[in-house]
Amino acid sequence: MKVSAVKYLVVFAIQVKNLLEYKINIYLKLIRPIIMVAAVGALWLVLFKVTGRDSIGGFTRKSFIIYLLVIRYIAVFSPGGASITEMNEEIRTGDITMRLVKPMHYMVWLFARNLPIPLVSGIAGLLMVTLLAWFFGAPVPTGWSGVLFCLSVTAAIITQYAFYQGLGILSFWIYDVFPIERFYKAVSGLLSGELIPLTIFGAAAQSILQFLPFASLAFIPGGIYVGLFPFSKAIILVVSQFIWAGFFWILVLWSYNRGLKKFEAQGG
Amino acid sequence: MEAFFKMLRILPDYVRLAIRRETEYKAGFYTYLVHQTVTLLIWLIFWRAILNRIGDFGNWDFPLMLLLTGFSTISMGLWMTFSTIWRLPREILRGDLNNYLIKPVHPFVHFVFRRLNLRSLPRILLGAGTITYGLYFYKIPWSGMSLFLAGTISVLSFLTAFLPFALICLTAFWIGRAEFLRDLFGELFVFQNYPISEFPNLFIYVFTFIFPLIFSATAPVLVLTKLTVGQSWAILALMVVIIVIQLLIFGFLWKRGLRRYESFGG
Repeated sequence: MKVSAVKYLVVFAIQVKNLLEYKINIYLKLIRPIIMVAAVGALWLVLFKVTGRDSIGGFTRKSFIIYLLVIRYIAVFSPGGASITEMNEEIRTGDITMRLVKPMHYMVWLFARNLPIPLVSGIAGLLMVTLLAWFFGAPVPTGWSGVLFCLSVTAAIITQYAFYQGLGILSFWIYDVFPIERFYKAVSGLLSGELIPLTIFGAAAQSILQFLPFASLAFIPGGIYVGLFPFSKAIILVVSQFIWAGFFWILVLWSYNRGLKKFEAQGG
Repeated sequence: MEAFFKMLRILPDYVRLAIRRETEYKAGFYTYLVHQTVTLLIWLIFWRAILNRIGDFGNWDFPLMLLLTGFSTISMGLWMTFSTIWRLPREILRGDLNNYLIKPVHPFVHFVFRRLNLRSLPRILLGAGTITYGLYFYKIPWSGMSLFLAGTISVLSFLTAFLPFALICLTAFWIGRAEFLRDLFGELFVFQNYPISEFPNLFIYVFTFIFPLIFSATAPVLVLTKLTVGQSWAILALMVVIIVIQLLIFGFLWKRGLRRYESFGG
């Protein structure tokens, strides 16, 4: 058991070393979400100004910007995006066979390989958001809310990664998964609260959307950070996040085994 | 001039190649079409949800937002058709431009047309359909001239967005890794979908003269629904001047960049 964990740690360590070779990339990756938030945040600040409102959908100006930053860095945290491209390329060219003959689990290897960049940028990003929030006097979760927030972010990352792995696994059946990835991003952008917080929708739509798996990716952790939910409701939402995460991982592992069987049946 | 006609002669060949590439993987084409339709619908839901919550966005109500989404869809469809520009920094860095330099055709034209993304063309039709629906369903008054001017600005706006982006990609000749700069710049494209005329003056100036995204959707909607014919012609004239300046800058930097690239031996 120890030996098998060590080999993935070695892959992880090599990737960290590669990452440190190009330090400028880390800094640049940290800046990108700020530009993205500036672009989306500008619209909302103009909306606040034009309508003369103090809050829209339960968000003030400050809490809205902090919400946008939090959800953007959670998205940065997930190592999924790079792994879809890699998986798609390796499956359609057949290069995956080179990995499969080695004494390791392909998906764990992929995870160890793609983890360093999101881990570094995600942690640094969330620290930066907390500092910004503190500086601007915006809400920062502390105590049990802080614990819930960390759990919520963990569940969000696990679910996001499951979605991305699921899309990558589709490569066993579909030649080019890129359009499906784009489709997924468009839909999840709206339903996860990344484009607009779910509180902007009507009460009926909101009560359904917040328990869908997409809300787990952005709206729930972002909402907990800015204190949008009462504590008891936040607990229920975090539990629902973990239930969805477990469900999707079971689905992903089942699909991976099915895909692998199909791949082997065709002779690799 | 001869080079220009030569370029025109080979364009159909590029298109034929692109069609062949698209028909090879039909599933990808249809999935992309679904994705484009869903993206359009998402923007409409986005504006509907916001306007339901806050009322009009300044001078913009939902019918105008519908037209805005239609025009930005057209512009993005055209842009995506030539989205191969995204690869330029990487090809410069890896020395892949050598393949184009030895061909008897303008290397940039060959680079851009070699990988036409015809999957994005239906997006243009979707945008046009959305505008037609908006004009008909919400009974928005319009004239033939205003529609002609709005359409012309919308189609030409592709160049005002494409050329600054291409200029950013050209920086790879000097700084090597320009991907980050390119990606950062790419984030600004979201402003195409916003009614920029409601933003503070600083934004209006930036998106008119530096990264002219105002012509993609905001200007066509205003030309179609609010501005006089004279004002609309003035906007079109300004846009043409901006395009000419952009082309001159691009041509100058392309030549300088290529000289630098060749002096390093590719």
